[in-house]
Amino acid sequence: MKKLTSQQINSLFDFVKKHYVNWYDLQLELVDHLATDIEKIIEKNSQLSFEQARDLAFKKFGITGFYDIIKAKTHAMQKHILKLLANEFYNFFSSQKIFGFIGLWFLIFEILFFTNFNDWVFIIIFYSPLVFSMFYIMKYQINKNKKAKQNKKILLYENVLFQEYIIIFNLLTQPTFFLVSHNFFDPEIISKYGIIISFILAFIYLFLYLDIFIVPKKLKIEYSRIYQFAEN
Amino acid sequence: MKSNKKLIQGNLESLVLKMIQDNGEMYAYEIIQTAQKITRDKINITEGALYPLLHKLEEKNILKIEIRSIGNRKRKYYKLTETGKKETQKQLHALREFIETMQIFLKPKYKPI
Repeated sequence: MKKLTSQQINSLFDFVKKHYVNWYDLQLELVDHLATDIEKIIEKNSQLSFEQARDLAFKKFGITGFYDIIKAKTHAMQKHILKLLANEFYNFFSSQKIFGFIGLWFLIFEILFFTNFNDWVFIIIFYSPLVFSMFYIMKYQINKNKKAKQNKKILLYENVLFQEYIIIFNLLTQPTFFLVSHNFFDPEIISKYGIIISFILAFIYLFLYLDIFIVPKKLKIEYSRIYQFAEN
Repeated sequence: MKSNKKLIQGNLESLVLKMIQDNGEMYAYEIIQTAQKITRDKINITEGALYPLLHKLEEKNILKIEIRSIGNRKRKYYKLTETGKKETQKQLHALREFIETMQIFLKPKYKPI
């Protein structure tokens, strides 16, 4: 059987990219699928050109092309990331690290208490996770753009993480309007619910730590182990 | 005659797991071709159905993947994990039981009431 040339394989990578498959893990699989099918099609009918055989192979993916596959893979990746995050939470709370969380909770409360529940101190503590996540979203996007410009391979998990960061950013900013309209930054209100508020803040801090530092690190290790060989 | 699509869809996961179990490891295109070959074109697994299933099984830790170089391109192989091996046995057992139960209706030994 006549095998496809490296140039033809590269043109298949461009072909799948044109059909919105922007992630290397998915590109790699679909390119091999198309290439294997093209070779079989040409073997049966040697009169066909590479492009004609490619279009016949692509037709088998149906009218939606790669769309359903991208959608299903993204969904599977979202679930995988959520499971990892849940697992990290479980590990955190079922180990001695829980004392670190309790420590952070009381530290926030103490800061609020010793500053007489000053609204400005509260605003700084409340909004620092927001600034922090905004900074990370920007950094992440800049890195992604840089990788794309340098023609480096981007894996699907990197894109799913970015989408997730945007959702988190929205979730943290949305309550702002509600809190301002309900006069929530009033020291009297802060002091009344001080313990609960400190707990929520400590929880947000922990969530961001696990989601922004730990989970991406684990994903990077997991996927570089699988695709390291593919990079060679 | 093509087999009933709904019946295949309902059992696609078990069929794919069984094929991977028998072959040790398989790539997606090979699964499609093998299903067609061994059933003499009676079962035609579409790309649009197979890939989402494989990715779902990978996420559930039923399948693990391995990338290998094949000439000038890379190929993604699917293998059963330990959880996957147990799950395959469970699904095949359930499928066999279901087929046996169906036999009761298809070849009734009882007199119709």
